[in-house]
Amino acid sequence: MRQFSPFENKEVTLLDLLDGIIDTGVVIRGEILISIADIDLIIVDLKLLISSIESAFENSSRKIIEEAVDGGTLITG
Amino acid sequence: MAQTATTFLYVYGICAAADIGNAERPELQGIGGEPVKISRYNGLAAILTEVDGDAFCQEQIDRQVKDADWLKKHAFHHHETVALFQQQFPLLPMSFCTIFEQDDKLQTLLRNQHDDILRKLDHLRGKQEWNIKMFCSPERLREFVQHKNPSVLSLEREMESMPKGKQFLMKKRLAMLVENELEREKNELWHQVITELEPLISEQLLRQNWGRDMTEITEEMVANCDVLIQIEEADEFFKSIETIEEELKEKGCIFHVTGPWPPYHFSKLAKEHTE
Repeated sequence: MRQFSPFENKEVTLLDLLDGIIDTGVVIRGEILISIADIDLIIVDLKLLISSIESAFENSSRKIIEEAVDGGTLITG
Repeated sequence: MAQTATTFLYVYGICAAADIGNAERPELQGIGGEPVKISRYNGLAAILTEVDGDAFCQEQIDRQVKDADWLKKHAFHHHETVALFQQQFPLLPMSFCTIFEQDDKLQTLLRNQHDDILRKLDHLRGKQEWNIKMFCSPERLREFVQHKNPSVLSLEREMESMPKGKQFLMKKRLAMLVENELEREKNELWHQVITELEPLISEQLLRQNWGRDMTEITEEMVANCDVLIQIEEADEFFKSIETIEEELKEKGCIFHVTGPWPPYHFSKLAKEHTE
């Protein structure tokens, strides 16, 4: 059994995360101004992510992905 | 779109106000750069941050979620913020990009669903979400069926005593039997696993299996299941999966377990209460 932590293996759990947080969690209709709940949209995004992850692997380094992910921690423009 | 500066509320999750008393409140930057705050609403509290209405309007978000880098960065931010609080007390995680136009709308919502939310939070107390992915190597499962499946072995034994001509004809039947048994074994794999794990699981939700293009491993995914378990039973849960993996080794099965996750898949309120 291989065990992955959502914090230690970001590239492994990214797809799980997107599968989990985009269309799930509490979706309360009526009062929300903006939300994302379109399944088709998620599939498009997952495909995009796969291609970006694959191209990172082609550059032969796991680090690249980790940096790409870590580089954006918490600070947004 | 109006160019006046509007502020919206980006909500990460809802918790019980009584739980946040002694909880750590780290200074966190929210998704739009403003601090993450805890706002109390009677018995409940929302983990939220103010965001700029122009940057977080529907059109803008629809455009940005198609940008893999934006999505990655912000999805992790959402997750990390939710997880940080959820590790300290039960929290209903909101979906990514749940944004309220005005505080009074959030207030109304929390007032109307106050009791249901508290009940849900109570139900989640002391529990964790984990994801189990089960993979199976089709080649190894086929090998198992060909060499160890009782029906296949018994037909093979029968054939040994047959004349050569009949043996030749029976070969087709044997090949068909292998295919049928293979399909049956494959369909039964997950059922066998979940039956063994059930005593340790309080809720379960099967997700769609992922293709090899997504998993990037050679085995085929046969189950992708989210489960809610008691935190104190986590060790037993892992041990059980390891035991099952050992039992199913000869059928080419392996498991990937991911977590603990905030209860993303087990936080939905009953439909009638969300209207």
